[in-house]
Amino acid sequence: VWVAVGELSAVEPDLLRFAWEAVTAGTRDAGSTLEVEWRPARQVCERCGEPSERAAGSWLRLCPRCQGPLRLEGGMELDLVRLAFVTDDPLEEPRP
Amino acid sequence: VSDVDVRTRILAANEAAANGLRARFRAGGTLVVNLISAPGSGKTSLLEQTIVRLRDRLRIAAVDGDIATERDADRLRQLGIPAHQILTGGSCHLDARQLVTALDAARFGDVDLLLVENVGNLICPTNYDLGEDFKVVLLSVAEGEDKPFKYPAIFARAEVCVISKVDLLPYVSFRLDEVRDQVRTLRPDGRILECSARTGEGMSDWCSLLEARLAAKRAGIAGAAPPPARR
Repeated sequence: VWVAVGELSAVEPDLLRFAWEAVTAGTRDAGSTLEVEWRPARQVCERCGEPSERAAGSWLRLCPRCQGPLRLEGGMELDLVRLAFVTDDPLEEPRP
Repeated sequence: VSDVDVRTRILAANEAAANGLRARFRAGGTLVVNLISAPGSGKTSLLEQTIVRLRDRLRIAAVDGDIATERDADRLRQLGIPAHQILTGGSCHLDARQLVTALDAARFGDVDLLLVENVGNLICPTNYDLGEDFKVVLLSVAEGEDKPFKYPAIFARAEVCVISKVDLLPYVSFRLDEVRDQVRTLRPDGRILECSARTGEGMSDWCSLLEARLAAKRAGIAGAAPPPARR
């Protein structure tokens, strides 16, 4: 199971993985894995239009190139992206 | 192995309920504010002072979320407005379906301003759309000036940030400029207000903002289509 988790979604990937393990344990989904795609928020300069690099968990106050104001984009995601599953449904076996 | 592209919002069920609420509030011409903060930042005190100042001009109702006790709703009822307490029994936020249930039980009738006081928590309420017009985050000066950057999600989503208990500024280490700068970094188009429910400082700005937003919402309903909801 692939999920996308944004930096500003108030969801912590490690805790989500742990919760996934806990709720699937002892069920037919035990052993399935939750893959978290981390989506950082971007700070984009209003003036030069460039997104800025920054250290994880830290925030820039101004554009490091032109000192312009930054706006925040993205990072709000909490999406189910994709499922891949192994089927053992006999109906899917080739019929004689 | 089968592969399925899903691409759906995990909180889609909450969002559907929130959209239902939004349509209901729009039809009723009700402005809805979702107040979020850490426990003890002064949400209820801010609401008390808001009610005292606006109750003669607006029909106000309140929904209070708490883990336990009816204290908050009782405090607001004493001011002569209808208030409904949602007891979450341990859950750390309100979701849209809880608000639907609460409104159905409360039967407030026609309301101009619905004040929703979320459970005291700067994290979990962030993700749950309640069909509100906007979120308000409160930060009291006693909590420390590092909070916006430590809890960026709620400060990025809240359109209004109320810095509360500013009457305590002489007694605490809290640089207002630093906090304003952090809040603006996370929400450049947001509004920052400094208030004290105790002295009344900033309360008229806050109340004017609510009245202006209510008037704008009603003008929008009478005129054009509503703006799309912000995620």
